[in-house]
Amino acid sequence: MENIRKHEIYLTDYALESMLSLKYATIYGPRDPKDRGGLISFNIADIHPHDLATIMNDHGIAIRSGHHCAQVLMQRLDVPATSRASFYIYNTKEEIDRFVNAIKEAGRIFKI
Amino acid sequence: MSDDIYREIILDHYRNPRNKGKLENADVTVHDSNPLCGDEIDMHLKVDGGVISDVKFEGKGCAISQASASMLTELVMGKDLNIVKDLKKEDILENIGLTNLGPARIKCALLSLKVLKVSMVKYYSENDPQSAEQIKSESSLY
Repeated sequence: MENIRKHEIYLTDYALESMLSLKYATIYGPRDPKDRGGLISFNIADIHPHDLATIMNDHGIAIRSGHHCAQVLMQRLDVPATSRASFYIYNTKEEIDRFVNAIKEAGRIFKI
Repeated sequence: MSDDIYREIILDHYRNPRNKGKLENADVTVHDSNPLCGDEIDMHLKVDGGVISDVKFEGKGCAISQASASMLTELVMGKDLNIVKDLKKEDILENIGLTNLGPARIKCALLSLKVLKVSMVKYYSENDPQSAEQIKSESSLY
């Protein structure tokens, strides 16, 4: 279990690091991957999460988008919804590169 | 694939929606949402002599739902209210230029039509109850 958690932290840290270089990404939650589970909730500029998920899906990346049964939090964050990527034992660093590239592709399509 | 959906015109209507806002003195206002995805649409209609003399919408949601609503207001502005009952799913998809939308996103495109149809029925119920029943039976949801 410790190794699984270590892998999760490694991937989450790498994804956070990669996403922080995208100036149009808003990331929710703590920066330290040890303070969060193996997932990242985020938004990309004014792209609605469902639109983002559609584009990511075309690039072979499955994310969750929507309210996540947390409408009150959406109101508090003043967003219509959020996107969420999660990582586990079967995910790899290369997949995170593909994930970030898919976000860039969404940025291109939405002319951000 | 995504490039086909998120064309310039969809993005333009998403970021610069036409006829968006509240309509003062609207004859009918209807709100509906898709609770699963969180898209919301309000339609406000002003009807004069059976003609949609003004229409505005408010809403939040994805680019497809908001662009579709924006383009729908342009489609029906100044038209006979009766044409709403004949509008079909295919008309909307053609109107927004997305005839190949998959099942996951088609409901985004059709929410505004649903709200407009309910608005029409509500208008007739309140202003012309005799025609309302007939309109209701003639009007398929999509």
